[in-house]
Amino acid sequence: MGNRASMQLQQEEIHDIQNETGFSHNQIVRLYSRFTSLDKNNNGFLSREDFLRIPELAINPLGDRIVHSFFLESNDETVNFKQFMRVLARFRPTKTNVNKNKLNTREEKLKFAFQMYDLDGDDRISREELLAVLHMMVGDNISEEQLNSIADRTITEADEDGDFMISFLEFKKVMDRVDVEQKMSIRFLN
Amino acid sequence: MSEPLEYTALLDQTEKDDQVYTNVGYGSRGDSASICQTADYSLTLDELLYRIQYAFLNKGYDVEADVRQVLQDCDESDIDTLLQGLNSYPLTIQQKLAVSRLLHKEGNLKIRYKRGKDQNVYKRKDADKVFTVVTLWEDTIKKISAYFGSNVASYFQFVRTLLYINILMMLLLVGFIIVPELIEGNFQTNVTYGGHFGELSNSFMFYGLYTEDLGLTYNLPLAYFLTWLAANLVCFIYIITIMIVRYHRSKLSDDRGNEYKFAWRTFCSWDYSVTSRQGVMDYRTSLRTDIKEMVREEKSTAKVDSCTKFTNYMGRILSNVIVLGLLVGSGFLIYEVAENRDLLKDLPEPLDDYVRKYQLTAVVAGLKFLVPPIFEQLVRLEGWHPRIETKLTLARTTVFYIASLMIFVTSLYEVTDDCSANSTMVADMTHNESCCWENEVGEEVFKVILVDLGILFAVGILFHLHRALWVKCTCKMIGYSKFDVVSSVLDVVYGQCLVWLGLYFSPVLAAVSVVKLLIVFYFRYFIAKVAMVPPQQLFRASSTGNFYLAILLMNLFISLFPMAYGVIEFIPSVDCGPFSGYDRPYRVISELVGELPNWLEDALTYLGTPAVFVPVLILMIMLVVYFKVKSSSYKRLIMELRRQLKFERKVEKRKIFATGRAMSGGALSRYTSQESLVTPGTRHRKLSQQTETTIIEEEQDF
Repeated sequence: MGNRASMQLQQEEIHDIQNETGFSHNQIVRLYSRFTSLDKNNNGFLSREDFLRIPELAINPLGDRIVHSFFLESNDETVNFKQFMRVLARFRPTKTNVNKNKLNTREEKLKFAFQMYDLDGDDRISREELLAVLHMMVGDNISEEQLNSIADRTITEADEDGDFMISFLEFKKVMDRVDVEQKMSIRFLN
Repeated sequence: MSEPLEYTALLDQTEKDDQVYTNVGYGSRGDSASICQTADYSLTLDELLYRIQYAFLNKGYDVEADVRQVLQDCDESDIDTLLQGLNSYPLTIQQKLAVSRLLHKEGNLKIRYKRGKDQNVYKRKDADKVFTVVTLWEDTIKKISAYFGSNVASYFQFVRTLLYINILMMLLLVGFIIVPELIEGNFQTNVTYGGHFGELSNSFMFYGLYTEDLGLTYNLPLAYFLTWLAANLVCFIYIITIMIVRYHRSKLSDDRGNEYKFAWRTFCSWDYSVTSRQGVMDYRTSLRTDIKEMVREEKSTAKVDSCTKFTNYMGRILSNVIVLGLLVGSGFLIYEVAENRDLLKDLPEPLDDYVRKYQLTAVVAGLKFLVPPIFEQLVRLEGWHPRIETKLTLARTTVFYIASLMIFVTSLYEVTDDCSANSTMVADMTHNESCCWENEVGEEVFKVILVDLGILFAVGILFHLHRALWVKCTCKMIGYSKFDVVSSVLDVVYGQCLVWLGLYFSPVLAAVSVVKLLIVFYFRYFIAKVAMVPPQQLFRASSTGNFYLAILLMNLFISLFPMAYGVIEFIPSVDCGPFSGYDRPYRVISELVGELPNWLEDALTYLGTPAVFVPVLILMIMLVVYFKVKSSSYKRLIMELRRQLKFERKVEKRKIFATGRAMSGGALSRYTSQESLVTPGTRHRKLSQQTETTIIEEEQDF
């Protein structure tokens, strides 16, 4: 199935990723195999089409936004393995008695969720962005007026500094009572 | 990097670990001259390739051995190189086949691993871990949630939790009671009890068989009693532990003032475990319905005129009266049927026998089947919000189930007084009537459990399947049945409650419950996949999954009372069971205590007296009050701190605007304010005119 000599995972890389993300050695190797299986052309990186080839992601109405969050890390049109792992690291379960320099803190998870809704990347969720996301989730068959009222009510509830946009701080406050640590955690290989 | 040190450590690891993938990256650093060293003989890949190339000159060359050696320390790219070039090597066909087989066998794990197969099935040996945790039914539940969503999947997860609990109980009971009895018991064959199960009534399934004297080493009565207590305790501890663990994970900041209904809906309502196309479409539909309903609710606040109010109140009073009537009526009915053995007279003989045997079971099961749907229809009279409707029905159904079970069991206890009415009575040769009331109770409970299962099958097949066939074949708009999570959960909890109630009288009920739960899981899975659609209402019972566990715990606690009553109040049967000689079952413990050294016995007896018991009770009450006061003072502290935060923000804004106004007026619109409030890393933004005026207005209020 092609020569994989160019894509083997070096030991230093594994160590680096381990230090940065906190994944264990086995998890990194397993995820590397997943990465390479997604990478059909053996490029060493993933593009958006590679992600959208995953059927579950393609069906999900918010799938596009999820894929977009992967690409925010790299600021590019491609994602290499390290960036891939950095994004996935946010979904590791949080342990409360572990040092906090990792990427799976509550703040990072919420930041991931926030970036999914922030379409233009200005660190604010505006009304139009909310409407776009609602459209994606609910689809058609619901009137514009109803969607508008929902978006308005959401902003009214969440907004505190009066700029009619939701900043990350306000978003955090809204999610205060939501069990983010459990809902946004995947037990990799456990 | 210190190569030599690391290298030997790595070599050690490779010898330990079968699966060589941990060698990924060792040796070859991207160049083709990979260095694979074994401890005593160095054979590089290049060397191997060189040898293979001139193998035609070397007649007795054992290429397999060399490849094996190289394989020990090399990685996938080398194997790939070898495999690809295999055709071009000057080896005989046999050699090539052997090498290819070897490479595929040894190297196959690595290659197959890279292709990323299904994760769930893999159980790998790991140098660190000894066991890999394999969760039961994980992929089945994933398949369900792909179509039905996480609400329905939570029902199946609950069944799985119950299965674990029952397995624990079963292990305890089988290990300590059933197995010793089977091994060493001398079965009393002189008296056979004519129970409902015929032969089985006299087996180890029921209480009656267990004897008192069981060889000198094993004290069966004590074991029976203590194991039963331990099984209940284990259930308690397991449920409470799971609840605490889940509770810890959720952050409960009990601030009722911050209910972000719309924001939560917008940001948190998509269920990511739905991964099938049909499931996504269904979920979107129910999300749409939910949102429309929410918007409608917002618009129609407090527009209730007095006419509808009046009808609502009348409806509520009426339905509450009916509900109460139903509860009392069913309780009375169960009691009467249990008491009265000759309810239907003048029936032909075999039918009469059947009726006598099964009347109580039929009544209990029939009531459970008929009454909850009546509750569901009744609640519509009351004109509540749909969410409150669901909760109210849930509460009523729970109360009904508990009440009917309590009455069922207590009315069974009535048979203990009157031996002649007991069907297990047998007139012995020595003209003594010997009866075994525990067997009777155990058998009745057993029968109800079996009938419950039967009703599940009947409803599933006759109702849901047929409805699905009807819809499919005649395309009527009845619609498929919706999976009702709440009533399914209550069903399963009811079954579990029955098991707890009957556990003392029939130790094998735990095993029966395990089998029943397995059947229930697969049957419901089958019916759901084939004949049902996801529920329309997005009813989220609880955010942490604690809700079902709380109902279960409450049931366990409440079913303690009849059990304790049965054990404390009634004299065990004289002729059967392990406690036949005793006045009360717990006397076994006093007997055990009696055998202890004097000082210990005195101490324990002293502990039982009120002189110790009452101060302990008072102490516990004081502790509870103390913690409650502490938690409410923390709550007040939290509210105070939140108010301070808001205050700080407003004060900052005022200051900024004051400075802004002190500068030239035009600069205000370009002023990137709120610098002090912005966390580092967020970009600055312009304040628009509109927001500026809003802030100024707000500030003036202050």
